[in-house]
Amino acid sequence: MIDPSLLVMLIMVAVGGVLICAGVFFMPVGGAPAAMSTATGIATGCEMMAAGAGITGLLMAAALYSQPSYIVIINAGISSGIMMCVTMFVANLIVVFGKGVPPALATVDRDPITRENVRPYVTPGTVGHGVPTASYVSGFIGAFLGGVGGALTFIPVLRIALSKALEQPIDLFGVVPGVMSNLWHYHVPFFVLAGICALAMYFINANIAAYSIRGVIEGWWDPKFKKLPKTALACFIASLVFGTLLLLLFSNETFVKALESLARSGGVRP
Amino acid sequence: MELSLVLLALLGIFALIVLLITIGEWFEDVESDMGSQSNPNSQVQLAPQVGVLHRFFNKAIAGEPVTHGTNGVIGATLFTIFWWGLKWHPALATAVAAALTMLFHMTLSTTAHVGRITSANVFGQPLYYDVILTQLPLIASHAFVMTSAFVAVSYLFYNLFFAALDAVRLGDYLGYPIAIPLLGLVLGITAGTIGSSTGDVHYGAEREFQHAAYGEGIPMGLHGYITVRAEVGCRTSMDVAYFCAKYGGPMTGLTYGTIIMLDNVRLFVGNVLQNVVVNVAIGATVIVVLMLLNRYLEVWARKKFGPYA
Repeated sequence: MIDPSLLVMLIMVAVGGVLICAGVFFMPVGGAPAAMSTATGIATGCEMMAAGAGITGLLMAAALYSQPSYIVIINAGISSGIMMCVTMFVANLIVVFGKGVPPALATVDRDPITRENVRPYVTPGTVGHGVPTASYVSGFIGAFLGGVGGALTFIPVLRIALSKALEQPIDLFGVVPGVMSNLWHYHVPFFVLAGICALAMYFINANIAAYSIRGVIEGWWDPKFKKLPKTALACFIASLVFGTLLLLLFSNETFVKALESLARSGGVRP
Repeated sequence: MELSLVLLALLGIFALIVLLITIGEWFEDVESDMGSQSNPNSQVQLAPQVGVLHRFFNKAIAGEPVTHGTNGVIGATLFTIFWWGLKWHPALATAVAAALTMLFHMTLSTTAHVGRITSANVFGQPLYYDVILTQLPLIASHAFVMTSAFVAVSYLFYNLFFAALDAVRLGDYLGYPIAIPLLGLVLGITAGTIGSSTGDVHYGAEREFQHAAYGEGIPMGLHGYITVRAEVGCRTSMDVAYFCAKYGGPMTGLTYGTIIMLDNVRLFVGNVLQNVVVNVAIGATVIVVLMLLNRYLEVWARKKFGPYA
């Protein structure tokens, strides 16, 4: 019989995958053309942006691990948002003062948020440059969703691993109890397991989303954004498969015994 | 010792972390510009195909985040072996680990450069021996500074979490309970992401196309026609580093430093006041302020530069 908390973990991982996928669609991915101020957005690829922003959220999730889950999730999202907002702001500083071009959108005539006419500010022969206000807001939403998605994988994996190792009842949402919140060096492998799983989720889902985006996307008004529902379904299935692997791992007696001996013996094999 | 003094000491260590991150990221960006590592590399690769032969170093066999993630994890793993396993002093372990990682990085750079340039050989691009000999030491030295900074930060973050000063657990305020090799990996990946998102625009949009008009994006028709003449003679990647170290590099360093600072300050203040709502409130305020600053910059730039048509 499968532990119900493992099924909850499966659902959290699958929902996390969908959120990461949606996050990538919201991010203003500029790819290589953005590095030459030939396209709107940030000059890097989908996976790297999703992972880079998500990692900041994961570090925050690790630091706040003993708090209730919803607090960890919100804070992870905000950390990813801060990372993305600072990066986009400095990218704009470099575009404005390093190249002397104003931020501009190309797929629409009017900025979806400020309603300004942006068409005259696009250099002829290019498809926009920099990160204009609408892309900036879209990028923040994307990073927030990505951070939340990563935390949704990190929290259940960490809590289940810690609870199984210390032979305590699994609580996926509340405050982490006293014994578990007193960490020492030999508890670190549990965080590494959770961190690697969350990192893998970023690369899996951002990669699937990258196939739909194919290089450049400006934000939620971009025609490519319409592909989100189908891609999200693909990400849901892929994350479900990944979650099932985790479920099998945690149902495996040998693995759980290894976790227990790790927590009991301080990492030294008896 | 009083609690406030302990917290002051903690803030001192935190300032060191932000400084190390800033310097490491600065060197990371200059290193990637020198090796045409990130997205601007597409133009260096395209140039021979449109008949522009160059003397640039081109080692972009992998994306910047992956390369620096690999550097970070190799450096941090070696550091853990020396420090935890062989009980070396952390400063010595950092230096030796970064030096060994540098050797790995030099190998990768050489094979990547030779492979990339020889693939462009069908378009007449020669492989210059002196380009490798003159730029490889520079790439290696930048990689050394970058790796040692990130390994040191990984060590500090990990040790802060478990350290205690006068019975005050520093981990209650700052630090991450994540193993040093994984911290090296994630710090390296984030460093690469930031470097390729911000600093490389200065190389790709400005330095690579210096003969194009300042104040215009690079039109598609100009792609591949990069600047290959320098103030004196042919332009090499060294001239790129000299230029980008003045604006793109420091701004990139500032970005990563600001992110680590803002994110940890809000964690620190929340922990000191023992209230997570403060944590969220500071984060939300920071994001709103950044959005307003970005809007101000956008309006200022449009007013200052004016429309194109």
